Amino acid sequence: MYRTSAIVVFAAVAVMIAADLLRIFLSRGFSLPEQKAARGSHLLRLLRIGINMAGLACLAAVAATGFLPVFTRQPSLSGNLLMAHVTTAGGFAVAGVAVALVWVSRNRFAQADSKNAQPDTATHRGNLFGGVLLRKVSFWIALASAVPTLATALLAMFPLASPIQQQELLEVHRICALLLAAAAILFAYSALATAWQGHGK
Amino acid sequence: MRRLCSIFSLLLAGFLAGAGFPAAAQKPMLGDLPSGSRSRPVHLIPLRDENGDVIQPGDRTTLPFSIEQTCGTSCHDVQFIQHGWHFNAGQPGVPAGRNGEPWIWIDYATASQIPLSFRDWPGSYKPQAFGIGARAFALRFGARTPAPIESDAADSTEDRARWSVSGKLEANCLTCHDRSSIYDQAEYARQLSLENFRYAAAGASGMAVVSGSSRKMPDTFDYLLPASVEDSLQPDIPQVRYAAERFIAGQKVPFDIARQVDSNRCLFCHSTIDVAQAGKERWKTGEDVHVARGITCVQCHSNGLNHMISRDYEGDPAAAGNAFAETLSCRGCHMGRAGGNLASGPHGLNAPYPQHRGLPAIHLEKLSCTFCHSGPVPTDKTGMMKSARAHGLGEHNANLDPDALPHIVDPVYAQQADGKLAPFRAVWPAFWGRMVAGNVEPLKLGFVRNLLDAKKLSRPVPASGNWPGIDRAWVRQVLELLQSRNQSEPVYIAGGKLYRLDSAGELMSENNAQALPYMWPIGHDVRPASEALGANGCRDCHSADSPILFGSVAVDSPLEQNVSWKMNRFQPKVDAAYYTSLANSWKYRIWLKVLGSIAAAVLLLLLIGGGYQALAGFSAKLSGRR
Repeated sequence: MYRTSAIVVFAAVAVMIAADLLRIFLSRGFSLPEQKAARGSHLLRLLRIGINMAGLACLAAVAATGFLPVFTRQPSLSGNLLMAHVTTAGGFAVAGVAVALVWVSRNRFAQADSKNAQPDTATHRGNLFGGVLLRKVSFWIALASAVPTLATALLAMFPLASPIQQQELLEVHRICALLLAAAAILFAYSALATAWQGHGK
Repeated sequence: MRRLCSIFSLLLAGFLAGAGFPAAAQKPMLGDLPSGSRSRPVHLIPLRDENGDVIQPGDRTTLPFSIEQTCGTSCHDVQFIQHGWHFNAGQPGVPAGRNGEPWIWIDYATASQIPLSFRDWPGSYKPQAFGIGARAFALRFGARTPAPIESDAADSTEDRARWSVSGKLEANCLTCHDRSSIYDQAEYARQLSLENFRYAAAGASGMAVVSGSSRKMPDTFDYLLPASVEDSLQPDIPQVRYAAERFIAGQKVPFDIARQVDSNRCLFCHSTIDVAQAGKERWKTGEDVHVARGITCVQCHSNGLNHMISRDYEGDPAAAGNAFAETLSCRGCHMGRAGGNLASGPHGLNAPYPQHRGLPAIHLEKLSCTFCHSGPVPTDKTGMMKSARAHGLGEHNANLDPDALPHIVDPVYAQQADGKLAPFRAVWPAFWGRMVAGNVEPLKLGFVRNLLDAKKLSRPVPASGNWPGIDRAWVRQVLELLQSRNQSEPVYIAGGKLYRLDSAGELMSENNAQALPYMWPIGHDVRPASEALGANGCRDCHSADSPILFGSVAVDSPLEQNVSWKMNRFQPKVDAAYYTSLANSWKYRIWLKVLGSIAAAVLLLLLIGGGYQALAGFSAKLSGRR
């Protein structure tokens, strides 16, 4: 059941990204947009890039170790893979917080967002998938799912839950982690896409 | 009417079969038909001798009473009962079940320590394989089994002649069911050592005094004509003198018989004690949590009339299909209602449901309950224990020296047949054999002993009861001697190794599967949650020096001292390298918790902030303000 859900969710994410890439290609033919100068000092810009890259790398690592047994039909996440997952999860927690802090101010919803959801006929810049709205929505979904993902794993580490309750916590962790992974991928894509299209604000 | 009768008969037959009555029994005997009363039946019964004749205190020659006749003439189906667990070890078609404590035969002269069993328990040997006949077995271990023992094919010619002198060893119902405070199991053992098999139950019962010794009687001795022996032996003629005041109501005597066996009776044979605790005052030693709570042995180890006592482990073939028996295991009793918070337990015991807070469920899949809760608390090195059956605890002449053989090592954490890790006790075999088709075939103990006696190579019994002093030169000498007696490829098994002579005649040692220890799972003593592994946290087990994975298992050998194996050698499915890295990573777990908690808190704050802002925006929109 979980495996099927994971396949459906990741397939849906892949389809969304592919559709958006196709839309961009059809509307603009992959011509590079004019880049706006980034705000802030060079050092801060480098720091932002570093944080984003670290976040992306940790996301890839934690998702790979977490979902590998799901896709390879292993009965459970255990052994060396579990150790790797827990180790990368620590990194992901730190990098995730840093990424959230970098992006939270830029992802605040504004009234203009509802307008941005409509295609801009003047610039032909689509805003539905690769646009700011998707980036903001996926950011907040990722944030909302990251909290229970972390909390359930943490609760299981303390002498609070019985084995049965731990299994339930693990189920919640798996469901939230799937949502987190999907939202984080969409966020990463839309952040890159908006930056590329000059909507980096 | 006839139809009604036949339906009633069918129902009665079904009820009796369900209650464990023999299918063939046409009519249950008086004492085997439960009346429904919970009271204890009074046993005011006549004593009967071997021939079923009633014994009267005024008889000219008083005879010992026969338990089988006294209990079985009109009240209990003794033959049927003798298919129960304590009786059926040698019977065909009985599932062996998981390994249990073996009978451990010690022979100092040949430096042998042999785990024996009549059951097909891997690692144990049938007594016949070593030429140990029924009589020798009865003399050594008869006091610790209620099962009848009669002459068998492995008995020597002399032994066969002695059976008529001592009498056969009958099934002993009293050893479990006599609740009288004067029933003396140690006296029973003493009578057996005097070869008074026929008299032992009477001697132990407290209603008679048995004197004399069948051991001193000639092969021609007839217990019905005792005076026929020569004068010098007259004082040693076995005799029984009943206490006349015990006979009341004519020819009857009262027995204090209980269906629910008193734990004190069980413990005479099933006591264990850590050698480290031996000699200490008993009140300072540990106790099984169930016993401490007042639960008796038979409340869990129950049986029906068939006396098939439940062994109470998961997967016991004897309990298969018996839903009630399955509730008697640890899980059955404590986790009876899976997913719930309560376990009812059988007999209304209301066993507590284990909370196991913070314990990942995988532990319950990979570890037996006993792993954390049973046996001595593990330390970096295994200890030794003594058991009643192996060391004669409770008998008058038991050697109380801590080094007395047999040496039983525990706790050894090894894999059960179902793959789960569990604590075991282990005894390292030591015996002489010869290679036959790649296997070690044991040599008859009598043959080896006679050979060593003849060459003055027999080892004396040390006062401590420890291994006799032997060395490699002695082993080589014995192997050469055996070789000279046409024993092809003689070998000596000891301390986990097989010793043999190489082509140059030098002593060499090698690993051999038959040199591995015989192991049996530890059930008791059960430790409560506060004393279980993990009570002090995960690092009870998840540390680089955890005794359950990296502790030392003492290799008991008469040849080499202070040899040990790493615990994980007994855990072939456990990846020691993985557990080492897991244990090493545990020190960073606290950081993971701290980092994770901080991260979760920051993300939650951001989420709350975002949510607040969204709500504020929504509110502004509703109120029409920008």
